[in-house]
Amino acid sequence: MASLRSADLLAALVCADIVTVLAFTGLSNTVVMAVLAIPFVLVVPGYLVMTAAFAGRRFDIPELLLYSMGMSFVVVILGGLMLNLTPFGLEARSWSLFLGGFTLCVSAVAYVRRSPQGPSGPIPLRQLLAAVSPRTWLMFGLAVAVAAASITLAYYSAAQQENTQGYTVLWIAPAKDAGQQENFYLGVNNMQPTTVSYSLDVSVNGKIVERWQSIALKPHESWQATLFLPSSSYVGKARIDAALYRSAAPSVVFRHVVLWLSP
Amino acid sequence: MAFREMYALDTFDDSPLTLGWLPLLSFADAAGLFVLALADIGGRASAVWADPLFWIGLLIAFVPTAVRILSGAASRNECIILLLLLGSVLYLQKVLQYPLGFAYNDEFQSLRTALDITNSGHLFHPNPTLAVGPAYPGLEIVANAASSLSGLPLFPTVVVILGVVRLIQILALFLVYEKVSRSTRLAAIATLLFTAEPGFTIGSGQFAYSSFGIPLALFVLYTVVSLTLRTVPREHRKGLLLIAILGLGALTATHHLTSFFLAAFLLLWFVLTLRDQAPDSHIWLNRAILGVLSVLSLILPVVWLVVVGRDIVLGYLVHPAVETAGQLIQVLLGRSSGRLLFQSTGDLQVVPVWEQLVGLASAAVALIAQMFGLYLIWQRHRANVCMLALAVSSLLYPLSLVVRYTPVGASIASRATEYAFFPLALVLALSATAAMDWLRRSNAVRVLPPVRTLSRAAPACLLTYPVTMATVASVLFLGGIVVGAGQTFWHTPGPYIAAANMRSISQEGIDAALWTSVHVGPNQRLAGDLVDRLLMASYGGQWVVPDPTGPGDANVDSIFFSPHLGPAQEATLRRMRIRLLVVDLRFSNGLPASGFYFDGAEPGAYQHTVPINPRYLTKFDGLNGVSRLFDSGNIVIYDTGVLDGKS
Repeated sequence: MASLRSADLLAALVCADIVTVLAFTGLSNTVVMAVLAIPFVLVVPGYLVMTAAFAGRRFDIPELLLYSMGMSFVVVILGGLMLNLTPFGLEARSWSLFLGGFTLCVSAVAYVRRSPQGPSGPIPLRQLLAAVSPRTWLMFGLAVAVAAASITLAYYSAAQQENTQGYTVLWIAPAKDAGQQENFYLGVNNMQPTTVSYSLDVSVNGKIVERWQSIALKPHESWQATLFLPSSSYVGKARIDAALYRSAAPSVVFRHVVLWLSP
Repeated sequence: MAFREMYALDTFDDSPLTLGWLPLLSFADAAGLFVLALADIGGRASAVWADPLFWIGLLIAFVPTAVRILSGAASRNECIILLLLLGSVLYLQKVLQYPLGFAYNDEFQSLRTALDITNSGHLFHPNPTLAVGPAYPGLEIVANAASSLSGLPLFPTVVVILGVVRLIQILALFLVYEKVSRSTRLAAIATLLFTAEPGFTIGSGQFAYSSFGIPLALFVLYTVVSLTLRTVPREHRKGLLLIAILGLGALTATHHLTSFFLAAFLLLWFVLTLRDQAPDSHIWLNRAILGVLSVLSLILPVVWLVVVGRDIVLGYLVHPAVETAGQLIQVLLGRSSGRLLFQSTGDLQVVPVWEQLVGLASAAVALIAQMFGLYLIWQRHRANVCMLALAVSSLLYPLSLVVRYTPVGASIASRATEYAFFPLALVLALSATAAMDWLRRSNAVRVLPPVRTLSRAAPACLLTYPVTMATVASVLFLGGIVVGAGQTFWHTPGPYIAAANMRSISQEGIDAALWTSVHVGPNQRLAGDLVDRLLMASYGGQWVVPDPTGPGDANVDSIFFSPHLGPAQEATLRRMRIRLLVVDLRFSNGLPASGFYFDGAEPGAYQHTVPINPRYLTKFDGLNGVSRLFDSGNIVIYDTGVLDGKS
């Protein structure tokens, strides 16, 4: 009976254990973590505070929900301010330790304060749900399905709009690392909805030094090249021009970038 | 089950769950959401039917819920679930508009703070887009905890968090109203009317610290209200007191203005308790609790303000308030003309006349109902000190309407309305219930001449008092959205518009920002238009100038607005150590929707009649020493490092 009476506390502890173990093993990008961590952060801390602070009091569902969610935010915010003072700061493992430790301590207090004669659980869910008929469940199911369809529709519509607004990027950048100052990088990103064939000319101080006749890129495909220009090959400043053409219109400069180099 | 007046509200409500019309109305909410999704699809294709569908979708969700709640036939549980569903639909309409990523200007300010916390593991990093933001990291802390533990990216995590915040807001509103008014019926109607708050549908679902401040303050207020009930057992007072104190602490670290508003309200409530000449022990206890909490609620934000950066916070809060007050005085003295409401700038459609009328009608209805409600509170509820404090606080609403007429007061007015609507909704609900009682008693709806004419054609059920009141509530609701949006481009997503907040966000701009982070490195000093500055500061991690929340810098603007890059502009580049310039060539094709391309200090701000000259934008091409690093067709990034003497 004791374990049933504290099934909610046990569930919170199991949740805390799983989240902490997964956070420390570096497995935070799992479905289990995604499903457990959100309620572990947004609901569990507040719920535990309520059960510990008001052992013996039965809340109605709206009040319990409000306190659980509201107090969870309070605990997490104050916890974040405390973690900021530690050298570890705010990251998955420190959060799992903080919230796991908090869960353990507050669950223990709640367990001790809960009287055996007190309310067996915070929500008489079975009693409340008894009123829900199969026909009602069907209506709710239909509503959820329509809402889910709306969200899916919106997502795909937005994604489609993004895909149809195509563009092409041409970029040039000097090497950032020390010892590689004579290198520079060129890139083309094809964000057009179709495969496009490009050509690219690179010139130094007006003289073409490199030419790529055909760079065929599928949608969302990128191309990159590294060029080497020794500082001994020019006097004063060097102006590097890169001009991108579409194969469909080879005489019109489609994109153009410039990089000035100093010896 | 009819409404029950609840006088012992801290007792457990274990009445069986009666669903009433809930299954049907939940389907209506879902259908409303579906229509809103269709409106968004239409908006993306620039269809003319998109905007009407937006309003229809909102009404499908709102009207049935309003009729049911106003009918007085719904149970307490049914009311709460209906309100939660309606609140969720109004939140989700924002998610449906931009389901792929952050879109609103304010969201990129919070995104920068959140990314700084994720990257460094620590708080309080300077934020070039909102200097005051890192000092109030409450929402970003929660986002960091949920995102880092769940392994989910920040955007979906924030969508879930803000959904939970919306639930907190609805529950807290209902429960506070219920405990203060001791009436479930009033609480349900007041919460319903709160959805007419101009920012509730359009702005409050944003990833911004202000979105979280009010719900958290309402949660704290609910705890304080619970503490002051006579029926609270002594052993629970300590727990509630602890929750209230911790809540005040969390609120202090979340939002500056909301902390001060809560402090002001608690102080007002405390002062009003002092008028009782013959207090009993309970009133003495309440006075002590309120006194302690109101003083604490004031001390905490003041201490925090001093600790985290007095100059930054005070400058951010005081400067716009002083400017607005000055302009208001000028307008009142007739020395300057007020701002024209619903005026559109740029190439955008003028706000339709019907929308303007609904917006004005909603304000008129709210003002009239407020006066009546205040009278009722004085007549019937003046012994209820908390309700009296709410009545006094609701006077902020007419003030916020006046401030809207000042040229710079629109943003302050929208903030003030957020705070004013919480007390106002209860005052309006009181008027609504009194009006409905009168209509019910006198059968007045049916004897009104226009209604008599209508009744020959309309079914009888459409002429009942809940439908009449739901119509009035719908005017308030729609008017709130008209006022909150200001311009029609807020209603649905759509093609790019120059300088139009979320309608100027494109993947092209985000990719440009990400490119700077990878290939140029973060924290480069960068100038550009408002939207690109926000993208560059958040996704690109750059240090943008000037601060997008500030008044702007005419010298920096002249870099873009002058026909040539002259000595003055070069001096500005050197003085401000600006390495990167972002130029959006689309500006030469359209007027800025917000009135300016770069900031309010630019030449012709709010008065542009022609788009910016394209030669001004391309003048950097071919300049000796100025590299053109990135070209995506619309967006070009220049490196002025040679001017700065760096590269």
